[in-house]
Amino acid sequence: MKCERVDEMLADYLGDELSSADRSSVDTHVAECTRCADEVGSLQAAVTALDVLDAGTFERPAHILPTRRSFRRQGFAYAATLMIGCYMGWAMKPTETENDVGPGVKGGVEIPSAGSLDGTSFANAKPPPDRFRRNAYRLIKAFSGGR
Amino acid sequence: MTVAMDTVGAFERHRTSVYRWAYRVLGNHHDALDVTQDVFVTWWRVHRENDAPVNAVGWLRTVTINRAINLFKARAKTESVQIEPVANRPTDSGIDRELVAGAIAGLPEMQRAVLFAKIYDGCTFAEMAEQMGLAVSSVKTHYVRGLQAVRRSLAVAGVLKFEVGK
Repeated sequence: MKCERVDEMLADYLGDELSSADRSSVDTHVAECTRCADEVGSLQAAVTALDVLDAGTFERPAHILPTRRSFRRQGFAYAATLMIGCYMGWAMKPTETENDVGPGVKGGVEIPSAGSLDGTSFANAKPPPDRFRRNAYRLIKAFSGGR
Repeated sequence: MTVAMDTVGAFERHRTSVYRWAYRVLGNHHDALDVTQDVFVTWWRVHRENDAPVNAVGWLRTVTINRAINLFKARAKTESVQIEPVANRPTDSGIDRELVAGAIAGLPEMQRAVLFAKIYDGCTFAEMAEQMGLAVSSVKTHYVRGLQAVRRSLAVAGVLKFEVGK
């Protein structure tokens, strides 16, 4: 292949519109020709430089809604946050001992302390009496493998 | 179809592309939104008396890039943007966007539009030729000449190794 032919194919080469056979012919010539190597290499560097303005720096406009996938991810994140919040509220509540009601017992129902959240003792414990904490407790218990 | 409906339809279909083209030049969310609004107001003014252009994408791309470049130049003038000396510029991540946007700003309109369509929108030369009403060979010429001009600007600024006099 001659340099003139490379010049003719330059736009297609840089724009990635050459067939693989033509592309390898140009590559072979460029590997042997300093003049063409300089020309092609520096123009490819210019294409790379233009990538600075490409989508990597693009921020999504505020008026464009997130995708369905984003909605699903957000929903999952909200659910997880709610669960963690419920758990933290339940686990960090002062124990019955601290309230001078009795160790781990309220209204005749055993309440596990935060420190006892391990395996079977947690799975076998009964739910606390008030509705909100009971629901949170059931949710956490279901996720931890208990019934 | 009424002009208003036509404008609304064009806005719905092309607003994201228009925003992206403007953002690439300006690198700023609010400026890009301003240009997007300006472009569609211009669309409405121009086409309320004439038919919509045969190729809306080509028209919008050209107008958007021109508006964005004008705003970029005006902003550079008011903010007295100085190009850092080569020694002070980061070398790995490279080339800062002001420099590249400046190089694009110096290109003739058609070269700019072709580079944008090819590099950022991934259009083929045949698609661009159809959008711009040019021969495919002319589009290729604009593409290579645009790249050569960008290369020259970046070489002068010292961020790309190339002998400018070649």
